Amino acid sequence: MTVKIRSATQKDVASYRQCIDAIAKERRYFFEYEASPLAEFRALIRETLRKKAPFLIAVDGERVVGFASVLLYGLPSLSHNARIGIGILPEYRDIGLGTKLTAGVLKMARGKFDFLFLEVFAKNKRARKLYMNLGFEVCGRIKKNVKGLVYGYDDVVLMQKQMRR
Amino acid sequence: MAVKIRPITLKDAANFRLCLDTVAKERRHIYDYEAPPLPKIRQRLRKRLREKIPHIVAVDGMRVVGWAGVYRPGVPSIWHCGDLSIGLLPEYRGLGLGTKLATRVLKMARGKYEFVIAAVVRKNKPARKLFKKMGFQLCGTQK
Ligand SMILES: CC(C)(COP(=O)(O)OP(=O)(O)OC[C@H]1O[C@@H](n2cnc3c(N)ncnc32)[C@H](O)[C@@H]1OP(=O)(O)O)[C@@H](O)C(=O)NCCC(=O)NCCS
Ligand SMILES: CC(C)(COP(=O)(O)OP(=O)(O)OC[C@H]1O[C@@H](n2cnc3c(N)ncnc32)[C@H](O)[C@@H]1OP(=O)(O)O)[C@@H](O)C(=O)NCCC(=O)NCCS
Repeated sequence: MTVKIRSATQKDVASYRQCIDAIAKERRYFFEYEASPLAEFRALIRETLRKKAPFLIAVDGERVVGFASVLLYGLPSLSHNARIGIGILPEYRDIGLGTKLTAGVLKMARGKFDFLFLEVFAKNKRARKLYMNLGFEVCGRIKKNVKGLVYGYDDVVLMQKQMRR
Repeated sequence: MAVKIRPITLKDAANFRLCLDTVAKERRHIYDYEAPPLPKIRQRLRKRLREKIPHIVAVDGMRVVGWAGVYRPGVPSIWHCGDLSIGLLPEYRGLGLGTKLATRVLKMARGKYEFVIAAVVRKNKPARKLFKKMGFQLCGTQK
């Protein structure tokens, strides 16, 4: 398989949604159990692209197999911060793609925000390791905050990374 | 002033919005800088009433002077954790009303949720004191 990392365009939306949907349906890593409906999803991505939020995808041919994206908060009181979301399809995990995508997006986000935040399930050791590797720090832990299909209850770990001083 | 605490009704929508908007416009305590438009407030309220979400108001006559609610988050994987929202108009603070609102709404939340979560800005001493008194534990600080 030859996987390329590049910026996303409006044309990738359907395939990108399928990627998110597949990971959500594992019910292990995301809060959502499925991706939002295509129309809603399309509107969301249009907004992300319009605002030029840092956003990268990994593609195998035309198929989106992974992503890392900076999600802007809707509220002005939080606009100096943002969140980050990442995901890779099962068969493309553990070969360094997640690290590459996330590092790329962090580079694009440098200087644009004060802090980046994320929430990761405690049992998701791989993602936590990746975030620690890339300089995120743990800033909190909410007990039993999430219920997944596979794990049952899990704690949610809050992490942050300072992006400018 | 004789303030009463009671469950919110659809008729309170406009007055509730005014109260929420006043607190939001202080830009000190809650994340929003203004309340959502009235149709949106009504729509949310209708849904919350239908789902029997714990939601009460403090009223002085017809005027809504405070509210408390434990809302259900958007996605099913965290429905067992309710989000606490509470606020009072400035002139009604520091009189013990917040304690009353919180006590009552948390009682209603028992059985409905397994956990209640509150997000508060660090500088908000009264709110932090109140939540601590109600048995909340600090589980993190985001800079
Ligand atoms: C999390 C995810 C994005 C990581 O991407 P990836 O390409 O699989 O991961 P990488 O190959 O880049 O490396 C991950 C790191 O975790 C480490 N790791 C893997 N499994 C691990 C485990 N069980 N325990 C601890 N560390 C582990 C790897 O060794 C690597 O660290 P290193 O570079 O120091 O060796 C990807 O696995 C994924 O999409 N998972 C499902 C969705 C998800 O969890 N999203 C994040 C939600 S917050
Ligand atoms: C937070 C709020 C709901 C508390 O309600 P309140 O009626 O003012 O609070 P109470 O009078 O019940 O007092 C709560 C506790 O805080 C203490 N307190 C009140 N004002 C205080 C102040 N200015 N500084 C420090 N402590 C204070 C009280 O002494 C009391 O503690 P005690 O019972 O141990 O004495 C109210 O102040 C408010 O609406 N603030 C603005 C909106 C807001 O902050 N919402 C919460 C967002 S997370």
